[in-house]
Parts: sequence; structure tokens; C-alpha cells
Amino acid sequence: MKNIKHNNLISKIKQFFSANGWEPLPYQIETWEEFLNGESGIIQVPTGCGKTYAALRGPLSQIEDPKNNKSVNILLITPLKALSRDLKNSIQLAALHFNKEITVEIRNGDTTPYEKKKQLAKPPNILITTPESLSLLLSNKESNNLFKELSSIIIDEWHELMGSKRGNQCELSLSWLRGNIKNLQIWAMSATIGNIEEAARAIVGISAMKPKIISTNIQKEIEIISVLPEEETTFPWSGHLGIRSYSSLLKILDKNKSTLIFTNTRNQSERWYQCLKFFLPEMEDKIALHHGSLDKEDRKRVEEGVKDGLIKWVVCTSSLDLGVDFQPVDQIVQIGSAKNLARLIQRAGRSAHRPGGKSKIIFMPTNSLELLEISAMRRIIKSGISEEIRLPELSYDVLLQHLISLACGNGFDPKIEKERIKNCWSYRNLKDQDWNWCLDFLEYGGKCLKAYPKYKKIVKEESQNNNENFKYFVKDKSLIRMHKFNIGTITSDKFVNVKYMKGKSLGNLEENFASKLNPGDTFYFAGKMLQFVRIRDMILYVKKSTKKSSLIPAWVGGQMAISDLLCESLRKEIDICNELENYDCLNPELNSLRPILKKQKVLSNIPKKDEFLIEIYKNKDLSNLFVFTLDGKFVNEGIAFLWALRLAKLKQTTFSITANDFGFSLTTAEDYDFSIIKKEADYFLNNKKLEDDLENAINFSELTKRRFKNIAQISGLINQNNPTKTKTSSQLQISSSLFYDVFTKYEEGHLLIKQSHQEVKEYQLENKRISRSLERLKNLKMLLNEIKTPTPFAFPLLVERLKNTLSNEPIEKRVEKLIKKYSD
Amino acid sequence: MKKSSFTFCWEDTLLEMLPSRALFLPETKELLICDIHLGKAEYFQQNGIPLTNNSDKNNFARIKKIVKKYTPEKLIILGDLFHSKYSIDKTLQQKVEDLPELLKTNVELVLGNHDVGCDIKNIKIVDIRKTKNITFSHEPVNLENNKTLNICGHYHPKIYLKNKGYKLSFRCFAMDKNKNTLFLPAFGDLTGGYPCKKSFKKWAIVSEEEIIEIKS
Repeated sequence: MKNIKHNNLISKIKQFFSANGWEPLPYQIETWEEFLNGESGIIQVPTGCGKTYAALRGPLSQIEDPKNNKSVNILLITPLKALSRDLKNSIQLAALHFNKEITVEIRNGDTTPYEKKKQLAKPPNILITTPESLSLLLSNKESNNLFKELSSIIIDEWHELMGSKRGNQCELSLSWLRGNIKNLQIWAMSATIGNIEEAARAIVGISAMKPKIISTNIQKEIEIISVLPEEETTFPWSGHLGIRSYSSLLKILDKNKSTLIFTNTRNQSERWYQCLKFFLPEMEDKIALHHGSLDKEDRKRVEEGVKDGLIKWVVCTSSLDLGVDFQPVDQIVQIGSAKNLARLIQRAGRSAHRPGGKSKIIFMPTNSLELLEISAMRRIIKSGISEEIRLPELSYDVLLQHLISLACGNGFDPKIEKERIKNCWSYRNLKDQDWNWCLDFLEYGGKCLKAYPKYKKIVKEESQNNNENFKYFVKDKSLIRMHKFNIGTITSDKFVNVKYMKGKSLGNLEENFASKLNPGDTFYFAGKMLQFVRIRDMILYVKKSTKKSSLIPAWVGGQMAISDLLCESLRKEIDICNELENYDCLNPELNSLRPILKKQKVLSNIPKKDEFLIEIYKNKDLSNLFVFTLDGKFVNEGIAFLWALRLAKLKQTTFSITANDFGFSLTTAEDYDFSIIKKEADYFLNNKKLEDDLENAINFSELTKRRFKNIAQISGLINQNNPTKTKTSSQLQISSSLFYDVFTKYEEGHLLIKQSHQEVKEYQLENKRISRSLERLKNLKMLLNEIKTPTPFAFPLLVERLKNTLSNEPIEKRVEKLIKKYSD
Repeated sequence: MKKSSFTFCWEDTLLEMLPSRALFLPETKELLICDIHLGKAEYFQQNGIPLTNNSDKNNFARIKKIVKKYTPEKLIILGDLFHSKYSIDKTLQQKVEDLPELLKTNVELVLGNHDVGCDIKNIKIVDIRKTKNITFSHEPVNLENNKTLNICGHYHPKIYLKNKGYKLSFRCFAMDKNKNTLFLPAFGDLTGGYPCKKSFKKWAIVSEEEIIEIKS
């Protein structure tokens, strides 16, 4: 009986496809069947293969009487606001076929208060929202009603959320929904990732039935074309902008084809935009800029301009990575290393957004060693392996934010909520003692404040029929207001709005950049030359300027390291480079690197897969050590600090440290004997006391303080400036570093401080990766070469050193030096 | 140069800048501090932000220490003794009212913007304080002539010192020579600060015992 009904529904879905001239793919039919069997799970297919239709058809078919719904039927969570509009359109199109009366609405930061209110009074059948807005909804007393008949949740681009705390936020909201609503079906859509089981578990919770994993063997073909240096050179040029070789790029690009030019940072996108406009004046109106800090209206105009064909080229950042079903673009350009494969594939996918289509990407290296990366990527794609994306674990800040949300809304019973939260994948290891600390922190403000009567964030309220049970609530209206305002700060740093004097908004800048400007300074932003006039109430007023300036804002988060998988392949790639002469069919990248590699081999070595290369280079007043760990920038940096400490223990000196994805360098002004590294190899590669050594090796407290800023913001310690009422809240302004000092001094075992330490170790220093890396290096044969001239491998580090160095000097010593410098 | 104090002469009045974030006038034996922001932690607590309140203890201890060292005839607080009138509880009020007795000296408060609405006994409260060549205020004021110096608080001046690749901030005394205004550093432990104009002359407090003159 059930099966007949299924078959009916499925044939109905098929009809919709054939009406549009499409043929459903086998995986889509499989998903519909699993859904109709009541299962939850995850759909893992490459971009542009009809995931949305696979996930939505099942739930849509279950809305039988769309007009008389008492609550939202389907909840759709998407990582980006920009995706909501396109999703809405494609769902509406699909819904038409089932039932014209199905209503679809969006609720996110751009939704007006009037619409929001309307949604609560008359819920739509389908609600599209972001993790932040969902969290905000839970802090609303109406949330129980709004979701009481919810039957399914669909999460779009889950792999995108998973990598950050937004994934935790989403998990926690899901745990509440699962707890309150019986028989909820949850499906996520994800790009291909290596740890798909974990991704699926995070959706359904650890105690649920095994989630279904639906994947296909659809292999999307990707064609990578590298822009190779024009003349043969033995000198590896370096840098990260790549602007100097713009002309080679312009030769391949077609002016009449719609094109996305992806850069890695917003700063880089501004520069390239400026450069392209300068060299192609005839394209002036057809090139646009798109990044996450630009004003919403401007971004929308660009998106629409591309759709209408008015804009041909868009220089963008990851702001256009996802969705935004711009009808397939004709050309995709990636400037600089994409750092991981998933991103490269996703970007390439924008060029053929249809199942079976072939995607093509033009790669523009910014330094020659990046060509090795691309060559490695080709090999990974061929082998079909995919990367892993991990959810952050035990983020107490996000947990605290979630609990306050619940307390602002329908309250929470700690006994029930604890079980729900421990059922979340990333909180499965939550200890009772830490859970109690969180409650204490919210109720009393932590151990020290227990005696303080005025502190109150959440308060107990006994249930009416049973005084054994109680729930926690936030009673104070202003606290609720403040909390709601703060949700959504998970990713953002403090921003100031950039406006013309006349009032038009241009976008956001980091406060840090803004604070360094003096009136009259000019800078380049949103593709325009601007002059700083004044800053008031978190608004930076500017006017147009004709003055030239090379000042371009930098946004935090510009730096990325290459992924684990890519590191591994890169090492294999370098091994292959040893045998270049013996290979007949090289790919174009390796071929163009041939002269550089030859030179490397003459001057030093190219490490084989069982070798580990170290170079020592001394010039008249500096001793340089180059170590090619090949482990990604952050791990290399961590090992650099570690070795600097361990060297200094043997013979005291101060090093300046530089790292890139290939390795690191230590430089000192003394004549230093680095050859002890070979003699004492065991000591340098030792994994024992790694954590302690690392904490001592770097200015740990500075790094943790930086991390803590974000944690303090999420957990509601510091308030994002409320743009409408900065004046009145000024008495509540305090910097996170003051909090950090007070907590460290007076409250031992503060979980948020502990978390900041943990985050630094795991995400910044990547402890585990460092330890694995040392383990790996131990088993390699160490090649220690004294070199007369810097080798091609060492050269980028040498160049980098001039721009960007760190030091292992302790803070006291630096203060002393400062004092000397300024007072002598 | 690194010193345990710097002396600055205005007309015939000596002013001694101390690394303990205070200014001492040896002739009249007056000690000046500002921006203590007592009760700041409590104010945060009332607003649902769990800031621990141990810093006031330390603030009182430091006041006691410098008064003991300099035995002034008068302790003048240049405003923002309290963070907010809403966060003054009985214990804090009592502690402040006991100060003159405890320190065995007169205490005078030049009212600051954060002190508005506070009602405290045993302490003389004035809006502004004037001597023949110095005007003491919380916020900077316009001076009638160029022979008068304005000494004030309110700004929490800080200075960023840079060296290769790193930057550290310190509390400082700052002198605006164009306007004859001397800004004192904030005394309270739980206070932040703001960098001040390049043109100001500055003395940075680098530790509790040391102060350096910044050559501009």
C-alpha cells in the first residue's frame, strides 16, 4: 500500500522533470525513495548536479493541504543570504507543479520587521533561513508555534557550514528542533568530502538511526588551464598578487564571455579590479567588483548585471563561491592557489552548472611554486580522493549563546537540554562538570561572582504543576534585546560602515583599518578612490577623491594554508620532480618548471619521498636556515617557532621567522652553527613536551588574546556596537583584552579562556598536525646542504622575509627594546 | 630616558608625573588622579555581563600606597571616580566615604561625566577648580589666557609604541602644547584607553616604577 503511494509520488516528480525536458538521475530517485521511507541523511554530489531538486521533491510532496498549515512545514537552512533568493525562485518553480498554493518565504538579516511579524502570525509552508536567523528564532517565544508541525529540515551546502563555528550553531539549533518535534526528517546537501559519515552524524545526532548517505559516481570533468610564464626562467618569481603577469592572462580571456575572476582575499580583488580597469578602459562598464564587504545593494546590482549580460567580468572572492545560480558563466579564473581542492572544484563548477557538463578553470599562479600545487591537484582529481572538513569541537562560546537564546524564548530545562546537547556530534564529549560550569556562568557569572546578588542573566522559574522541575529564563527585556542583537556575530569582526557624506552606503571595513586612517588620507575601496573625512558612531564618512593612493584595506582572514591532502600530494609531486628527465608526458605546469627544478638540483637537492631537505645559507652578516617541511603555512610556522625555542635552549639567540606553504626559515644576525640540527636530530624532532614547548615558544598569550576577542563576542561578553544607539551603550564598553586579563588573574579554570587556548593550539598552531608532521619527518633521511646562493626553493622565503616576519623574542625583552628605542 | 618620575614646570609651579598614574604638586602638596571608574565591574554585572569585581580592591590599595608615599595634604580626583550612579552599592559608598579618614587627608572630587548623580559624604565636590595659573577639570575647557594650564582627565590617553613588526600600548601623560592642556592617564585598573594626537608631547608609563619621555 505504502509503496503504491510512493510510486505515485515518484511518478509525479518524474512528470515534473520531463515537463521541463530533464531526465531524473538515479541518485535523485534514490533520495526520493529514502525520504518517503522516512529516512534522514545526506546527499553528496558535485556542484551543479541537481542536489536541490533531489532533496526537496520528497518533502514537497508531503504538503497535502498547504493553505491550512498551522506552522512551517519545511525549513531550509542555507549558509549565505545571497543564496536565499535563488533558492526561493527554484523552489517556487518546483512547488507550482505540486500545488500552486504552497508558500515560500525568506527570513534572514535582510527581512523587514513587518514581514517577520507576518511570518509568525501566518507561517509559510516553506521557510528559508540562515543559521544565525534560526538561532534568533529560537530566542522568540513564538518558536514553539512556528515549528510545531514541522516535518522536514533541509540544509544546503552543509560542508560550507561545517568548517566553522556556524556549524556548531546549526547543530545546536537542530538539537532543539529534534527534541521538540517528533519524527522530524533532516537532510543535508554537501559537496564531496572525505568524512561524509561524520557530516551526516552531525545532522541527525549521535543517538539516531544510521543516516543514509547518498552519493553518485557522477564524475564532473574538470579542465584546468594554467597561465604559464611567457619566457623560460630559472628564477622563481614570487609574491601573492600576481598582477605583474596580467598581460598573459588578458591574452587568453575573451572580452565577450561572462567571466568570474576569483581571488583569495578582498584586498587582492580590489587590486585586480583596479588593474583590469586601468588596462582595459574600453571594458570600464563591463567589469564589476564583488566581495562580502560591499554594500548589499551594490552586490545585488552586480549579480543582476551578470544575469542580464550587461556586466561581463566580475572580480570576486569567496562571496560568489556558492550558489548564486548566475546562469552558468563562460569563463572562470582562479588567481593564486585555491589552497584546497574543494574550493577549486566548487569554483570550476560555476562554469557548467548542469549535470554532466564539463567545467573549466583558468589558473593564474602568483608564484612559480604554485604551479607545483596545481600539478598536484590534477593528480588528486584523477585519483578521486576528497578532503575532510572537521567541525570545531566543544565550542563553549557557541553553547553559551545557544542557551541564552533558549532562555530568551521558551526557557530551558537543564536536565532535558543537557541530553539534547550531548547528542550533538561536536558536543558528544561534553563533561558534566563543564556543563555545570556553563550554567553557573550564566546564572552567577562564574565562581567569583556567586556572592554577587545583582548579577543575573538567566533565572530559575519553577514549573507550575511540579516544583521539582524548573526552567531557566532571561527576564530582563534589555538583556534580551542585547542578546538578539549579538547573534550573528559569529564570524564578523568589528566593522564600520563606509558612507559618502551625502549618505549613500558603500560597504564595510574592519575597524582596525579605519582606526589607522587620518582625515585627508585616501584609500581604494569598492573599486573607488576615496578620501577619509571623519568617523562617527561607527560610520566612516568619505568623499570621492582623484588623488592616487596605494592604500587598500586588508581584511582579517586573508591568510589560508593549504589543506592536508594537498600537502601530501605536493610532497609526491616534488618526488616526481626528481625524475623529470625520465618522464615523457609531463603536464604543462611541470614542464614550465623544468629549468627552475634543474637549478634547484644543481645548487642543492630536490627531496625524494624518503628525504627531508634543509639548507643553510650564510651571507656577510646573516645566518639563514631553510627547512622544507612541506606541511602548509601554519604547521610550518609552528615547527619554526618550536625549533627556534629548541635552538635557543642550546645556544641563546633571537631569530626572525618566516613561513610559507613549503617550509620556513630562521634568520639570525649572529654567525650561528645550524649544523647541530643534524647531530641532534632526535631532539629537534621530539614529540614529547610538544605542547609545553609550543606554549613557551611563541607569544602564546598574544595569540590567545586575539582568539578570545571572537569568543567573548559570541558568548555575549562584549557587545557588537549597536549602530543606532552607540551613545547610550557607551558605559558598557570594554575591550576583550581587559576581560582576558581579569579572567586570567582572578578566575582559574575559566572555560572561555581555556577555549581560547585550545583554539590557538588546534586551529592556529594545529598541534595535532605539528605532532604528525614531526613523526613523519623522523622517518625521513635528513639532507643538510650548505648553499652558496639561495636556491629556487628558498627564494620565496627570502622574499617573504622582507615583508613579514615574526620573532621568538619574549615580551619583556621587546618592551625593553621599545623603551630603548624611544627614550634614548 | 627612563626615570621614576618626570618634573614639568608650568610658570613657577612644579608638576611631578609619576608612574603610579598620578600627578604630584610638591609646593601645595596636592596629589591628582583621575578616571578610576569604581563599580565598573558591578555595572557590567547588572547588565548581564559577568565581569569579576576584584579590580576595585586593587584600585583602593594603589590609592593607599601613593598617599602613604607622598603624604599629600589633599587628594584631588579629576572626575570619573565612579563608573555609574547605578552601580554604587552601600559597601562601595561606605568605602569611598571612609577614604579621607583612612588616608588622613582631604579628598576633593572634580565632577566627571560618569559621576553625575552620585551622592557622597565627606568628599568635597566641585565642578571645576581654579588656582592662579592652573585650571583643574575633568573634560578639557577653554582657557581665558595663555598663562593658564588646564589639567584634566577624561581621555584615558594611551600611546602605541612600534618596533620592527610589533606594537605595544602604554598609558601616558599627554600635553597639548597648542591648547596648554595636560591630560592625565586613567588611574583605574579596569579602564581602556585611546591613542592621542601625534602633535601631543607624551610621557609613557612603562611599568609601575618607570616612566619614559617620548622624544617627538
